[in-house]
Amino acid sequence: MTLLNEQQKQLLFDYSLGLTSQQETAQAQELVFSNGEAAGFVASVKASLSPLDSITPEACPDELAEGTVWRAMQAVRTGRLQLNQLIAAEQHRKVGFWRDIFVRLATAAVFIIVGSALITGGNLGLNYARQLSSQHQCGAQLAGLFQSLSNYKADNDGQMPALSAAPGAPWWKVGYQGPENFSNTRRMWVLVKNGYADKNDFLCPARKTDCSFSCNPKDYNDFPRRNLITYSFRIGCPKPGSADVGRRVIIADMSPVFENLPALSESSLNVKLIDKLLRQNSPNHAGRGQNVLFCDGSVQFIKTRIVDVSEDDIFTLQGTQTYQGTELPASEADAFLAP
Amino acid sequence: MEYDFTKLSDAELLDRSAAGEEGAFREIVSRYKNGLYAFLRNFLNRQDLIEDVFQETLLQLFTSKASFDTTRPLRPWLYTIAANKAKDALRKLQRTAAVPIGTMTESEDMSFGDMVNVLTAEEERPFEDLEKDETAADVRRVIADMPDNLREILVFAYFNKFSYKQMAEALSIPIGTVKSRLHTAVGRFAKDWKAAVGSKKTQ
Repeated sequence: MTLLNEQQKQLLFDYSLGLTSQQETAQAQELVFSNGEAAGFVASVKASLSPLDSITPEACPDELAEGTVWRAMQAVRTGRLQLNQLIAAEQHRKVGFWRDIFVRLATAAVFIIVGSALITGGNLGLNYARQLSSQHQCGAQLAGLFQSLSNYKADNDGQMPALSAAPGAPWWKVGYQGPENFSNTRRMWVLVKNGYADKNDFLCPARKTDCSFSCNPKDYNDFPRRNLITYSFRIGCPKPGSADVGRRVIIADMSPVFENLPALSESSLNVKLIDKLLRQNSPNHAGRGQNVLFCDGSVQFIKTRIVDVSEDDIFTLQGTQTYQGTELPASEADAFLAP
Repeated sequence: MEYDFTKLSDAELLDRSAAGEEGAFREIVSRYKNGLYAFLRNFLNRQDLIEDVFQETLLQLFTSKASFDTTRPLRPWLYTIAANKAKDALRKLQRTAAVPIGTMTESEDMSFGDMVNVLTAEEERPFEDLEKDETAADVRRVIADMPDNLREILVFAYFNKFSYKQMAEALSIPIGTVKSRLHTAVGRFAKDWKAAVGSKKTQ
Protein backbone atom coordinates (compact mmCIF):
# COMPACT_ATOMS: atom_id res chain seq x y z
CA MET A 1 0.00 0.00 0.00
CA THR A 2 1.37 3.43 -0.93
CA LEU A 3 0.67 6.70 0.89
CA LEU A 4 -1.75 9.00 -0.88
CA ASN A 5 -0.44 12.21 -2.44
CA GLU A 6 -2.32 15.53 -2.39
CA GLN A 7 -3.67 15.09 -5.90
CA GLN A 8 -5.12 11.70 -5.06
CA LYS A 9 -6.67 13.05 -1.87
CA GLN A 10 -8.29 15.87 -3.83
CA LEU A 11 -9.65 13.33 -6.31
CA LEU A 12 -11.05 11.20 -3.48
CA PHE A 13 -12.52 14.26 -1.77
CA ASP A 14 -14.30 15.27 -4.97
CA TYR A 15 -15.47 11.68 -5.44
CA SER A 16 -16.89 11.58 -1.91
CA LEU A 17 -18.92 14.72 -2.62
CA GLY A 18 -20.08 13.50 -6.05
CA LEU A 19 -18.21 16.23 -7.89
CA THR A 20 -16.16 14.03 -10.22
CA SER A 21 -16.60 13.49 -13.96
CA GLN A 22 -17.20 9.99 -15.29
CA GLN A 23 -13.50 9.51 -15.98
CA GLU A 24 -12.46 10.83 -12.57
CA THR A 25 -15.04 8.62 -10.89
CA ALA A 26 -13.50 5.56 -12.54
CA GLN A 27 -10.02 6.66 -11.38
CA ALA A 28 -11.24 7.21 -7.84
CA GLN A 29 -12.98 3.84 -7.68
CA GLU A 30 -9.86 2.09 -8.93
CA LEU A 31 -7.84 3.82 -6.23
CA VAL A 32 -10.35 2.87 -3.52
CA PHE A 33 -10.26 -0.82 -4.56
CA SER A 34 -6.49 -0.95 -4.73
CA ASN A 35 -5.51 1.15 -1.73
CA GLY A 36 -6.75 0.70 1.85
CA GLU A 37 -5.82 4.22 2.83
CA ALA A 38 -7.90 5.57 -0.06
CA ALA A 39 -10.88 3.48 1.03
CA GLY A 40 -10.48 4.73 4.61
CA PHE A 41 -10.22 8.33 3.44
CA VAL A 42 -13.41 8.13 1.39
CA ALA A 43 -15.23 6.42 4.27
CA SER A 44 -14.15 9.20 6.66
CA VAL A 45 -15.26 12.01 4.37
CA LYS A 46 -18.59 10.34 3.67
CA ALA A 47 -19.21 9.60 7.35
CA SER A 48 -18.41 13.17 8.33
CA LEU A 49 -20.84 14.52 5.78
CA SER A 50 -23.51 11.88 6.35
CA PRO A 51 -25.52 14.11 8.74
CA LEU A 52 -26.21 16.31 5.71
CA ASP A 53 -28.14 13.41 4.20
CA SER A 54 -30.67 13.67 6.99
CA ILE A 55 -32.00 16.75 5.21
CA THR A 56 -34.55 15.62 2.69
CA PRO A 57 -35.61 18.17 0.07
CA GLU A 58 -38.97 19.75 0.80
CA ALA A 59 -41.37 20.50 -2.02
CA CYS A 60 -42.30 24.12 -2.62
CA PRO A 61 -45.74 24.90 -1.08
CA ASP A 62 -48.37 25.36 -3.77
CA GLU A 63 -49.57 28.66 -2.32
CA LEU A 64 -46.07 30.11 -2.54
CA ALA A 65 -45.78 29.15 -6.20
CA GLU A 66 -49.27 30.53 -6.88
CA GLY A 67 -48.47 33.74 -5.03
CA THR A 68 -45.33 34.16 -7.12
CA VAL A 69 -47.19 33.76 -10.39
CA TRP A 70 -49.79 36.24 -9.19
CA ARG A 71 -47.17 38.81 -8.20
CA ALA A 72 -45.34 38.46 -11.49
CA MET A 73 -48.46 38.97 -13.51
CA GLN A 74 -49.40 41.94 -11.37
CA ALA A 75 -45.97 43.45 -12.05
CA VAL A 76 -46.51 43.07 -15.79
CA ARG A 77 -49.97 44.59 -15.53
CA THR A 78 -48.72 47.47 -13.40
CA GLY A 79 -46.07 48.17 -16.04
CA ARG A 80 -48.77 48.30 -18.63
CA LEU A 81 -50.81 50.60 -16.45
CA GLN A 82 -48.11 53.21 -16.58
CA LEU A 83 -48.37 53.25 -20.37
CA ASN A 84 -52.13 53.56 -20.04
CA GLN A 85 -51.85 56.65 -17.85
CA LEU A 86 -51.69 58.92 -20.90
CA ILE A 87 -54.92 57.45 -22.14
CA ALA A 88 -56.45 57.81 -18.69
CA ALA A 89 -55.41 61.46 -18.61
CA GLU A 90 -57.12 62.06 -21.95
CA GLN A 91 -60.29 60.42 -20.81
CA HIS A 92 -60.38 62.33 -17.47
CA ARG A 93 -61.57 59.23 -15.79
CA LYS A 94 -62.13 59.87 -12.12
CA VAL A 95 -63.12 56.98 -9.96
CA GLY A 96 -62.97 53.36 -10.03
CA PHE A 97 -62.39 51.56 -13.34
CA TRP A 98 -58.83 50.39 -12.75
CA ARG A 99 -59.50 49.99 -9.07
CA ASP A 100 -62.38 47.69 -10.00
CA ILE A 101 -60.02 45.65 -12.16
CA PHE A 102 -57.50 45.43 -9.34
CA VAL A 103 -60.14 44.42 -6.84
CA ARG A 104 -61.51 41.79 -9.23
CA LEU A 105 -58.02 40.41 -9.82
CA ALA A 106 -57.31 40.38 -6.12
CA THR A 107 -60.62 38.63 -5.44
CA ALA A 108 -59.88 36.04 -8.14
CA ALA A 109 -56.48 35.46 -6.54
CA VAL A 110 -58.12 35.03 -3.16
CA PHE A 111 -60.37 32.31 -4.57
CA ILE A 112 -57.49 30.54 -6.28
CA ILE A 113 -55.26 30.66 -3.23
CA VAL A 114 -57.92 29.77 -0.68
CA GLY A 115 -59.23 27.05 -3.01
CA SER A 116 -55.82 25.43 -3.35
CA ALA A 117 -55.31 25.67 0.41
CA LEU A 118 -58.63 23.93 1.04
CA ILE A 119 -57.75 21.15 -1.37
CA THR A 120 -54.40 20.52 0.27
CA GLY A 121 -56.01 20.93 3.69
CA GLY A 122 -54.32 22.07 6.85
CA ASN A 123 -54.76 25.12 8.98
CA LEU A 124 -51.26 26.37 8.38
CA GLY A 125 -51.83 26.52 4.64
CA LEU A 126 -55.14 28.25 5.15
CA ASN A 127 -53.71 30.85 7.49
CA TYR A 128 -50.89 31.47 5.09
CA ALA A 129 -53.37 31.80 2.22
CA ARG A 130 -55.42 34.29 4.27
CA GLN A 131 -52.38 36.40 5.01
CA LEU A 132 -51.25 36.22 1.43
CA SER A 133 -54.63 37.16 0.04
CA SER A 134 -55.04 40.15 2.34
CA GLN A 135 -51.50 41.15 1.46
CA HIS A 136 -52.41 41.01 -2.24
CA GLN A 137 -55.68 42.86 -1.74
CA CYS A 138 -53.83 45.56 0.14
CA GLY A 139 -51.23 45.77 -2.65
CA ALA A 140 -54.00 46.03 -5.22
CA GLN A 141 -55.63 48.78 -3.18
CA LEU A 142 -52.39 50.77 -3.10
CA ALA A 143 -52.03 50.32 -6.86
CA GLY A 144 -55.58 51.67 -7.13
CA LEU A 145 -54.60 54.70 -5.06
CA PHE A 146 -51.72 55.31 -7.44
CA GLN A 147 -54.25 55.38 -10.25
CA SER A 148 -56.38 57.86 -8.26
CA LEU A 149 -53.33 60.08 -7.78
CA SER A 150 -52.49 59.83 -11.48
CA ASN A 151 -56.02 60.79 -12.44
CA TYR A 152 -55.94 63.76 -10.08
CA LYS A 153 -52.60 64.81 -11.49
CA ALA A 154 -53.88 64.56 -15.06
CA ASP A 155 -56.81 66.82 -14.20
CA ASN A 156 -54.72 69.38 -12.33
CA ASP A 157 -51.93 70.38 -14.69
CA GLY A 158 -49.62 67.64 -13.44
CA GLN A 159 -49.83 68.73 -9.79
CA MET A 160 -50.23 66.22 -7.00
CA PRO A 161 -52.74 67.07 -4.23
CA ALA A 162 -50.95 69.59 -2.02
CA LEU A 163 -51.90 71.90 0.82
CA SER A 164 -49.76 74.60 2.32
CA ALA A 165 -48.85 74.40 5.97
CA ALA A 166 -47.31 77.12 8.15
CA PRO A 167 -43.68 76.59 9.19
CA GLY A 168 -43.56 74.45 12.32
CA ALA A 169 -47.17 73.30 11.90
CA PRO A 170 -47.89 69.76 13.13
CA TRP A 171 -48.50 66.93 10.69
CA TRP A 172 -49.96 64.40 13.11
CA LYS A 173 -53.43 65.77 13.93
CA VAL A 174 -55.45 63.30 11.89
CA GLY A 175 -59.14 64.20 12.14
CA TYR A 176 -58.65 67.90 12.91
CA GLN A 177 -61.30 69.76 10.87
CA GLY A 178 -60.29 73.39 11.48
CA PRO A 179 -59.03 75.66 8.70
CA GLU A 180 -55.33 75.06 9.43
CA ASN A 181 -53.54 72.20 7.77
CA PHE A 182 -52.35 70.18 10.74
CA SER A 183 -52.34 66.72 9.22
CA ASN A 184 -50.48 65.16 6.33
CA THR A 185 -53.51 62.97 5.62
CA ARG A 186 -55.40 66.01 4.38
CA ARG A 187 -53.74 65.76 1.00
CA MET A 188 -55.26 62.32 0.61
CA TRP A 189 -58.64 63.57 1.77
CA VAL A 190 -58.53 65.89 -1.25
CA LEU A 191 -58.83 62.76 -3.38
CA VAL A 192 -61.88 61.61 -1.43
CA LYS A 193 -63.47 65.05 -1.37
CA ASN A 194 -63.17 65.42 -5.12
CA GLY A 195 -64.31 61.95 -6.06
CA TYR A 196 -60.98 60.46 -7.14
CA ALA A 197 -60.98 57.86 -4.37
CA ASP A 198 -63.35 56.37 -1.85
CA LYS A 199 -62.62 56.81 1.86
CA ASN A 200 -62.62 53.03 2.27
CA ASP A 201 -59.68 52.81 -0.11
CA PHE A 202 -57.54 54.09 2.78
CA LEU A 203 -58.35 51.15 5.01
CA CYS A 204 -55.97 48.22 4.65
CA PRO A 205 -58.07 45.08 3.97
CA ALA A 206 -55.94 43.13 6.44
CA ARG A 207 -57.30 45.13 9.38
CA LYS A 208 -60.45 46.75 8.09
CA THR A 209 -62.55 47.10 11.21
CA ASP A 210 -64.92 50.02 10.97
CA CYS A 211 -66.20 50.82 7.49
CA SER A 212 -69.66 51.84 8.59
CA PHE A 213 -68.96 55.54 9.08
CA SER A 214 -71.07 57.40 6.56
CA CYS A 215 -70.48 61.04 5.79
CA ASN A 216 -70.52 63.54 3.02
CA PRO A 217 -66.83 64.09 2.23
CA LYS A 218 -67.54 67.69 1.25
CA ASP A 219 -68.42 68.43 4.87
CA TYR A 220 -64.97 67.48 6.12
CA ASN A 221 -61.46 68.83 5.67
CA ASP A 222 -59.69 65.66 6.75
CA PHE A 223 -60.52 62.04 7.48
CA PRO A 224 -63.23 62.24 10.14
CA ARG A 225 -61.43 59.92 12.55
CA ARG A 226 -58.00 58.44 13.02
CA ASN A 227 -59.27 54.88 12.69
CA LEU A 228 -60.60 55.59 9.20
CA ILE A 229 -57.10 55.63 7.77
CA THR A 230 -54.61 52.79 8.08
CA TYR A 231 -51.94 53.89 5.64
CA SER A 232 -49.05 56.30 6.14
CA PHE A 233 -47.95 58.93 3.66
CA ARG A 234 -44.70 60.51 2.68
CA ILE A 235 -43.84 63.83 4.28
CA GLY A 236 -41.78 65.71 1.75
CA CYS A 237 -38.59 67.60 2.28
CA PRO A 238 -39.21 71.38 2.48
CA LYS A 239 -36.28 71.94 0.10
CA PRO A 240 -36.62 69.31 -2.62
CA GLY A 241 -33.41 68.67 -4.51
CA SER A 242 -32.88 67.26 -7.94
CA ALA A 243 -30.49 64.52 -6.86
CA ASP A 244 -31.34 60.98 -7.92
CA VAL A 245 -32.59 59.27 -4.79
CA GLY A 246 -33.89 56.12 -6.44
CA ARG A 247 -37.51 55.05 -6.27
CA ARG A 248 -39.42 57.32 -3.93
CA VAL A 249 -41.88 55.77 -1.54
CA ILE A 250 -45.29 57.45 -1.59
CA ILE A 251 -47.58 55.39 0.64
CA ALA A 252 -47.13 52.38 2.90
CA ASP A 253 -49.06 50.38 5.44
CA MET A 254 -49.53 52.25 8.71
CA SER A 255 -46.36 53.25 10.54
CA PRO A 256 -45.93 51.40 13.84
CA VAL A 257 -44.24 54.51 15.23
CA PHE A 258 -47.37 56.67 15.02
CA GLU A 259 -50.04 54.03 15.41
CA ASN A 260 -51.28 55.49 18.70
CA LEU A 261 -51.69 59.23 18.45
CA PRO A 262 -52.68 61.50 21.34
CA ALA A 263 -56.02 63.32 21.49
CA LEU A 264 -56.39 66.29 19.16
CA SER A 265 -56.59 68.58 22.17
CA GLU A 266 -52.95 67.83 22.98
CA SER A 267 -50.53 70.47 21.82
CA SER A 268 -47.83 68.13 20.68
CA LEU A 269 -46.89 64.58 20.05
CA ASN A 270 -44.16 62.99 22.11
CA VAL A 271 -42.78 59.78 20.67
CA LYS A 272 -39.37 58.52 21.68
CA LEU A 273 -37.85 55.79 19.55
CA ILE A 274 -37.33 52.82 21.78
CA ASP A 275 -35.82 49.63 20.37
CA LYS A 276 -39.24 48.07 19.73
CA LEU A 277 -40.44 51.06 17.70
CA LEU A 278 -37.29 50.90 15.63
CA ARG A 279 -37.78 47.29 14.66
CA GLN A 280 -41.52 46.70 14.45
CA ASN A 281 -43.24 46.34 11.11
CA SER A 282 -46.61 47.87 10.33
CA PRO A 283 -49.44 46.59 12.52
CA ASN A 284 -51.60 46.08 9.41
CA HIS A 285 -50.21 42.65 8.52
CA ALA A 286 -49.60 41.34 12.01
CA GLY A 287 -46.03 42.56 11.95
CA ARG A 288 -45.08 40.41 8.95
CA GLY A 289 -44.12 43.38 6.81
CA GLN A 290 -45.71 46.20 4.86
CA ASN A 291 -46.89 46.98 1.35
CA VAL A 292 -45.11 49.97 -0.08
CA LEU A 293 -46.23 52.04 -3.08
CA PHE A 294 -43.40 53.61 -5.06
CA CYS A 295 -43.60 56.65 -7.30
CA ASP A 296 -43.31 54.47 -10.42
CA GLY A 297 -46.61 52.84 -9.50
CA SER A 298 -45.09 49.55 -8.36
CA VAL A 299 -46.13 47.98 -5.07
CA GLN A 300 -43.83 45.78 -3.03
CA PHE A 301 -44.39 43.87 0.18
CA ILE A 302 -41.23 44.30 2.24
CA LYS A 303 -40.49 42.42 5.43
CA THR A 304 -38.19 45.01 6.88
CA ARG A 305 -38.66 48.77 7.02
CA ILE A 306 -35.70 49.33 4.77
CA VAL A 307 -36.34 50.31 1.15
CA ASP A 308 -34.20 48.61 -1.43
CA VAL A 309 -32.14 51.33 -3.08
CA SER A 310 -31.48 53.93 -0.41
CA GLU A 311 -31.55 51.41 2.48
CA ASP A 312 -33.44 53.96 4.49
CA ASP A 313 -35.97 53.23 7.26
CA ILE A 314 -39.24 54.54 5.82
CA PHE A 315 -40.86 55.11 9.22
CA THR A 316 -38.21 57.27 10.84
CA LEU A 317 -36.20 60.37 10.09
CA GLN A 318 -32.46 59.95 9.92
CA GLY A 319 -30.86 60.98 13.20
CA THR A 320 -34.11 61.83 14.98
CA GLN A 321 -34.92 59.96 18.17
CA THR A 322 -37.82 62.01 19.55
CA TYR A 323 -40.83 63.23 17.60
CA GLN A 324 -43.12 66.11 18.44
CA GLY A 325 -44.99 65.87 15.18
CA THR A 326 -43.45 68.83 13.38
CA GLU A 327 -40.15 67.36 12.21
CA LEU A 328 -39.39 67.26 8.49
CA PRO A 329 -36.81 65.34 6.47
CA ALA A 330 -33.58 67.19 5.80
CA SER A 331 -33.26 65.75 2.32
CA GLU A 332 -35.25 63.93 -0.32
CA ALA A 333 -33.13 60.86 0.26
CA ASP A 334 -34.66 60.47 3.72
CA ALA A 335 -38.03 58.80 3.08
CA PHE A 336 -40.37 59.47 5.98
CA LEU A 337 -43.93 58.19 6.17
CA ALA A 338 -46.33 59.30 8.87
CA PRO A 339 -48.55 59.31 10.85
CA MET B 1 -57.23 25.25 -26.88
CA GLU B 2 -54.56 25.57 -24.17
CA TYR B 3 -51.04 26.17 -25.48
CA ASP B 4 -48.53 23.51 -24.41
CA PHE B 5 -45.75 25.51 -22.75
CA THR B 6 -43.91 22.41 -21.61
CA LYS B 7 -42.31 22.09 -25.05
CA LEU B 8 -40.71 25.55 -24.96
CA SER B 9 -37.12 26.27 -23.92
CA ASP B 10 -36.40 28.35 -20.81
CA ALA B 11 -35.39 31.33 -22.97
CA GLU B 12 -38.64 31.19 -24.95
CA LEU B 13 -40.61 30.95 -21.74
CA LEU B 14 -38.83 34.00 -20.33
CA ASP B 15 -39.69 36.05 -23.40
CA ARG B 16 -43.31 35.03 -23.26
CA SER B 17 -43.50 35.62 -19.51
CA ALA B 18 -42.23 39.15 -19.86
CA ALA B 19 -44.93 39.75 -22.46
CA GLY B 20 -47.48 38.83 -19.81
CA GLU B 21 -48.25 35.22 -20.78
CA GLU B 22 -49.18 33.72 -17.47
CA GLY B 23 -48.93 30.14 -18.73
CA ALA B 24 -45.29 30.67 -19.71
CA PHE B 25 -44.31 32.03 -16.31
CA ARG B 26 -46.29 29.29 -14.61
CA GLU B 27 -44.23 26.73 -16.53
CA ILE B 28 -40.93 28.33 -15.42
CA VAL B 29 -42.13 28.31 -11.83
CA SER B 30 -43.22 24.70 -12.20
CA ARG B 31 -39.82 23.65 -13.59
CA TYR B 32 -37.71 25.27 -10.90
CA LYS B 33 -39.90 25.76 -7.84
CA ASN B 34 -38.92 22.64 -5.90
CA GLY B 35 -35.20 22.91 -6.57
CA LEU B 36 -35.13 26.60 -5.79
CA TYR B 37 -37.19 26.15 -2.64
CA ALA B 38 -34.92 23.36 -1.38
CA PHE B 39 -31.85 25.48 -2.19
CA LEU B 40 -33.21 28.42 -0.18
CA ARG B 41 -34.38 26.16 2.61
CA ASN B 42 -30.81 24.99 3.06
CA PHE B 43 -29.37 28.44 2.61
CA LEU B 44 -31.64 30.49 4.85
CA ASN B 45 -33.42 28.25 7.37
CA ARG B 46 -35.95 31.02 8.05
CA GLN B 47 -39.39 30.52 6.59
CA ASP B 48 -40.27 34.21 6.19
CA LEU B 49 -37.04 34.96 4.36
CA ILE B 50 -37.29 31.85 2.19
CA GLU B 51 -40.68 32.93 0.87
CA ASP B 52 -39.52 36.47 0.20
CA VAL B 53 -36.34 35.48 -1.56
CA PHE B 54 -38.10 32.75 -3.53
CA GLN B 55 -40.56 35.28 -4.96
CA GLU B 56 -37.98 37.99 -5.53
CA THR B 57 -35.67 35.58 -7.34
CA LEU B 58 -38.32 34.49 -9.79
CA LEU B 59 -39.55 38.05 -10.28
CA GLN B 60 -35.99 39.12 -11.01
CA LEU B 61 -36.19 36.98 -14.14
CA PHE B 62 -38.35 39.68 -15.67
CA THR B 63 -36.03 42.55 -15.00
CA SER B 64 -32.71 40.92 -15.79
CA LYS B 65 -33.64 38.55 -18.56
CA ALA B 66 -31.62 40.67 -21.01
CA SER B 67 -28.47 39.62 -19.19
CA PHE B 68 -29.33 35.93 -19.47
CA ASP B 69 -27.15 34.08 -21.95
CA THR B 70 -29.67 31.87 -23.73
CA THR B 71 -26.99 29.41 -24.79
CA ARG B 72 -26.44 28.45 -21.15
CA PRO B 73 -28.71 26.59 -18.76
CA LEU B 74 -31.02 28.70 -16.64
CA ARG B 75 -30.57 26.79 -13.37
CA PRO B 76 -27.07 28.04 -12.33
CA TRP B 77 -28.05 31.59 -13.24
CA LEU B 78 -31.26 31.37 -11.25
CA TYR B 79 -29.45 29.97 -8.21
CA THR B 80 -26.83 32.69 -8.44
CA ILE B 81 -29.59 35.29 -8.25
CA ALA B 82 -31.14 33.38 -5.36
CA ALA B 83 -27.84 33.19 -3.45
CA ASN B 84 -27.22 36.92 -3.87
CA LYS B 85 -30.72 37.81 -2.79
CA ALA B 86 -30.49 35.45 0.16
CA LYS B 87 -27.27 37.13 1.30
CA ASP B 88 -28.86 40.58 0.89
CA ALA B 89 -31.86 39.47 2.94
CA LEU B 90 -29.62 38.19 5.71
CA ARG B 91 -27.62 41.42 5.73
CA LYS B 92 -30.79 43.50 6.02
CA LEU B 93 -32.02 41.31 8.81
CA GLN B 94 -28.68 41.55 10.54
CA ARG B 95 -28.89 45.32 10.48
CA THR B 96 -32.30 45.40 12.12
CA ALA B 97 -32.12 42.38 14.41
CA ALA B 98 -31.36 42.80 18.08
CA VAL B 99 -29.57 39.46 18.24
CA PRO B 100 -26.97 38.23 15.76
CA ILE B 101 -28.31 36.02 12.99
CA GLY B 102 -25.79 33.62 11.48
CA THR B 103 -22.29 34.78 10.84
CA MET B 104 -21.84 37.43 8.23
CA THR B 105 -18.09 37.74 8.45
CA GLU B 106 -15.70 35.97 6.14
CA SER B 107 -14.14 32.85 7.56
CA GLU B 108 -10.49 31.96 7.79
CA ASP B 109 -9.33 29.37 5.29
CA MET B 110 -8.64 25.84 6.47
CA SER B 111 -5.88 24.03 4.62
CA PHE B 112 -6.59 20.74 2.86
CA GLY B 113 -4.45 18.93 5.44
CA ASP B 114 -6.32 20.51 8.37
CA MET B 115 -9.62 19.58 6.80
CA VAL B 116 -8.46 15.99 6.33
CA ASN B 117 -7.37 15.89 9.98
CA VAL B 118 -10.79 17.05 11.12
CA LEU B 119 -12.56 14.47 8.98
CA THR B 120 -10.36 11.52 9.84
CA ALA B 121 -9.95 12.18 13.57
CA GLU B 122 -10.66 9.02 15.57
CA GLU B 123 -13.90 9.82 17.30
CA GLU B 124 -17.17 8.04 17.53
CA ARG B 125 -19.59 9.00 14.80
CA PRO B 126 -22.30 10.98 16.55
CA PHE B 127 -24.84 10.77 13.75
CA GLU B 128 -26.17 7.34 14.67
CA ASP B 129 -27.10 8.49 18.17
CA LEU B 130 -29.78 10.86 17.10
CA GLU B 131 -33.21 10.50 15.61
CA LYS B 132 -33.32 11.48 11.98
CA ASP B 133 -35.82 14.34 12.32
CA GLU B 134 -33.91 15.77 15.21
CA THR B 135 -30.71 15.41 13.24
CA ALA B 136 -32.13 17.29 10.26
CA ALA B 137 -33.16 20.23 12.45
CA ASP B 138 -29.76 20.29 14.18
CA VAL B 139 -27.93 20.03 10.88
CA ARG B 140 -29.92 22.95 9.48
CA ARG B 141 -28.98 24.96 12.54
CA VAL B 142 -25.30 24.18 12.15
CA ILE B 143 -25.44 25.13 8.47
CA ALA B 144 -27.33 28.33 9.25
CA ASP B 145 -24.67 29.36 11.75
CA MET B 146 -21.82 28.93 9.25
CA PRO B 147 -20.38 32.05 7.62
CA ASP B 148 -22.18 33.07 4.42
CA ASN B 149 -19.36 32.20 2.07
CA LEU B 150 -18.94 28.69 3.50
CA ARG B 151 -22.63 27.96 3.71
CA GLU B 152 -23.25 28.93 0.11
CA ILE B 153 -20.44 26.78 -1.25
CA LEU B 154 -21.55 23.78 0.80
CA VAL B 155 -25.11 24.18 -0.43
CA PHE B 156 -23.98 24.58 -4.04
CA ALA B 157 -21.60 21.61 -3.92
CA TYR B 158 -23.24 19.06 -1.66
CA PHE B 159 -26.95 19.61 -2.14
CA ASN B 160 -27.00 20.88 -5.70
CA LYS B 161 -23.96 19.15 -7.18
CA PHE B 162 -22.68 22.21 -9.01
CA SER B 163 -19.36 21.55 -10.76
CA TYR B 164 -16.31 23.58 -9.73
CA LYS B 165 -16.65 25.57 -12.96
CA GLN B 166 -20.30 26.36 -12.30
CA MET B 167 -19.54 27.40 -8.73
CA ALA B 168 -16.68 29.61 -9.89
CA GLU B 169 -18.99 31.34 -12.37
CA ALA B 170 -21.86 31.66 -9.93
CA LEU B 171 -19.69 33.15 -7.20
CA SER B 172 -17.33 35.08 -9.50
CA ILE B 173 -14.24 33.58 -7.93
CA PRO B 174 -11.38 31.47 -9.40
CA ILE B 175 -11.68 27.67 -9.35
CA GLY B 176 -8.72 27.46 -6.94
CA THR B 177 -10.61 29.63 -4.45
CA VAL B 178 -13.72 27.47 -4.89
CA LYS B 179 -11.69 24.39 -3.99
CA SER B 180 -10.02 25.87 -0.93
CA ARG B 181 -13.31 27.37 0.25
CA LEU B 182 -15.06 24.04 -0.12
CA HIS B 183 -12.33 22.34 1.93
CA THR B 184 -12.85 24.95 4.63
CA ALA B 185 -16.62 24.56 4.49
CA VAL B 186 -16.51 20.79 4.79
CA GLY B 187 -13.98 20.93 7.63
CA ARG B 188 -15.97 23.61 9.39
CA PHE B 189 -19.20 21.69 9.11
CA ALA B 190 -17.61 18.50 10.45
CA LYS B 191 -16.07 20.39 13.36
CA ASP B 192 -19.23 22.33 14.24
CA TRP B 193 -21.38 19.22 13.94
CA LYS B 194 -19.19 17.31 16.35
CA ALA B 195 -19.29 20.24 18.75
CA ALA B 196 -23.08 20.52 18.47
CA VAL B 197 -23.62 16.83 19.18
CA GLY B 198 -21.04 16.89 21.95
CA SER B 199 -22.77 19.76 23.73
CA LYS B 200 -26.12 17.99 23.37
CA LYS B 201 -24.76 14.90 25.05
CA THR B 202 -23.47 16.85 28.02
CA GLN B 203 -26.86 18.53 28.61
